[in-house]
Amino acid sequence: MDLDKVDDRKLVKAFQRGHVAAFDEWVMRHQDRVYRLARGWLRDETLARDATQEAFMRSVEGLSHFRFSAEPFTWLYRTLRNVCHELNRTRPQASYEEQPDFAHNPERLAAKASEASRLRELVDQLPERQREVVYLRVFEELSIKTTAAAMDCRPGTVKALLNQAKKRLEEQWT
Amino acid sequence: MSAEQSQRLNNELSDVATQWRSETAPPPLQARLVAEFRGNVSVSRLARPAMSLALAATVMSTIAVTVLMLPNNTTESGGVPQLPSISTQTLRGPSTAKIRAPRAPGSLRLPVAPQTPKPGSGTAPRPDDKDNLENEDVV
Repeated sequence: MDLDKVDDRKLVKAFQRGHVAAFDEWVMRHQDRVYRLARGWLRDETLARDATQEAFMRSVEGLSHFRFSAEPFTWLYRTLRNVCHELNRTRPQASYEEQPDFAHNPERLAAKASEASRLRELVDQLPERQREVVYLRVFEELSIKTTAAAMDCRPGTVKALLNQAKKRLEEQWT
Repeated sequence: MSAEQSQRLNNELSDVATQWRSETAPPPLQARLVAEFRGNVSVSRLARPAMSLALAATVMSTIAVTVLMLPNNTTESGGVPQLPSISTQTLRGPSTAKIRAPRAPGSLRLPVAPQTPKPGSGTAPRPDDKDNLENEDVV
């Protein structure tokens, strides 16, 4: 079986049948996206690594009993969100606010003044649901349907949240 | 906000999204994940045979110790020691069944010394312990 060409459902089924290489492909396929989203939620590279690892490790257990009532990636994303929430709850709030993603990174610090970086900061300051929709729909370019499934809401809610987010960004960006 | 400004925001958002998507997970992360996963798989898959081996080793060592400790494994005439017969139940798994050596006809049986507790130390032996020993002696 050519694992890199099969969709997520077939990949997970292969994994459930004991195809160990299917897990390698599962990680390869989603690790970048999961890591980026974790960084977005946690704004800390080390914690984002931990969260990514934890999400995938939970997926070992979770996917072995997965019943395909949702898309595997949707399930993985929700697992990641739970992990990020747990990490955000346990770490000191001060460190969360004082550690922007680009702290101690001279290149990023220099680029901070650019428009793109300023906009990114504004996105990070959006209310949680609006921020989430920007991450998934705009940054990760997921379809509205997948975004809605990942956020456990209707497609109409995704569109509404996106409009609200853009309106807010427009107000703050000018 | 004018349509032009709105378009500018969209373009800028697009740039931010491109920059976002260019970020990748650090290489060690993937290697670490796969290694941990493989570690888990190998542990879980090997767990069953490893436990069986451990169990077998325990049973065998128990048998060996029992054979060494048995007093009646030689004949009176000093002949070839007789190996105790091992019931199949003992080999199947952990069991409380005792392994006993078959006694040669006319061989002596060592008397069982009554257990008398030292004054102030521990509790007295239960009467049913003695009963059990006596019952075992009945062949």
